[in-house]
Amino acid sequence: MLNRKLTVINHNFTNRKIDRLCHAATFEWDEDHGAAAGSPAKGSSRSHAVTEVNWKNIDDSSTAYSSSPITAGNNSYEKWQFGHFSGTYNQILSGLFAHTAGAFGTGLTLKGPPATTGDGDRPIYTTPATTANANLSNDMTSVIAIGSGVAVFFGATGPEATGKAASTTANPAYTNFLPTQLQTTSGAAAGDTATATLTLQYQEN
Amino acid sequence: MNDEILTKDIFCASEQTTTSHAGSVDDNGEFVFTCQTEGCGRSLKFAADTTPEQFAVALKQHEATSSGQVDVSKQKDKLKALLGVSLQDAEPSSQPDDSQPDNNQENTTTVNSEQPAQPQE
Repeated sequence: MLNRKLTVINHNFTNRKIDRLCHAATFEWDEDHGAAAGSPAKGSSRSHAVTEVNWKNIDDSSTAYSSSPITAGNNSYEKWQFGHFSGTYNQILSGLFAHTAGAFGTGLTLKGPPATTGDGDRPIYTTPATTANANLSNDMTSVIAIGSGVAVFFGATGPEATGKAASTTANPAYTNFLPTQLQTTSGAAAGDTATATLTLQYQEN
Repeated sequence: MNDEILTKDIFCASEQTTTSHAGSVDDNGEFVFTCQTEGCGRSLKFAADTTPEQFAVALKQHEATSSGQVDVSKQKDKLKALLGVSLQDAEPSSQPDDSQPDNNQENTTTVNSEQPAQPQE
C-alpha cells in the first residue's frame, strides 16, 4: 500500500504597481468534494484554506493520507482544488500552474488539467473517483519551471462558474478548478512519496 | 507460445518526443502504456472502459498539453554542459546571413509610464 503526501505552496505573485501602501490580495486554496451538484457542477461540499493536496484512497481533505493509502496499481481520488482571492487588489491575472519541486518514484504518474485557453474549456467538476481520469491530460509527473506551467483563468462566484478569463477584477475571485490525480502501477514502491510542490503563480495589481 | 509484446508510439512527457510504449493491462483492468526509452519508464494510464475513439482523443490531448514542458532537472544537465563551454569554442560568423530578407524595420514601442504616488501630507 502506498501513502502519498504533498505540500502546496501558493505564492509567487508580482506587484505591478508600487504605491506607498503595498496592497495585496488574500489567497487561500479551497477544495471541493462529493457528488457533482448544481449547474455548473461543483462539489456537494467545499473545504476552505486547505494546506496540502495529499492523494489518497478517499475523497476528503480531513482523513490522514496514512489512513487511506493507495494500493499499488490503483489511482487516488481526484483532488479538485482551486485558488480563492479576496482582500485588496485591482486585478488578478497571468495564472500558471505546475509541479515545481519533488520527484515521484517509479510507477507514479501525476495527472493534472490541461491549459485553460477559454471559458469553454475550463475543467468541469465531476464526482471524484479512482478510475484514471482521461480529462486530466497534462502529465505533471516531472518537475518543470513554473513558466512552463499550464495557463489558469480567473473569475467571480466560484471555480465552477462561467465567465472565466485570463484576468479578473472580481472580488472575491477564483481560479478554474485545478484537479489532480496520482495514478500508480503495480511497480510503485510502498511508503510515502517525497514531498512535492504544486505552484500556482499569478500577478496582481 | 511466445508472449506478444504490444507497443505503440506515444508522446512521452519526460522525453518530450514520441517514443515506443509497451502496453499492458493492470489488475484493475486499466490500460497502462510504459515508455521503453532506457532510463525513462514513464507510464500513461487509461480507464478500463476506454474506447478506441476516446483513446485516440486522449492521446492527442496528452501530447498537446504535455509538450513544451521545460524539465528543470534536464535543464540543470544542460547548464553543466554550458559551463564547460570556453570562449574559444565560439567563433563569430564571417558569412552574411542570407536566410532573412534585408527588410529590417525599426519598431517603436510606446511605454505608458506610471505616475509616482503623491506623498500624502
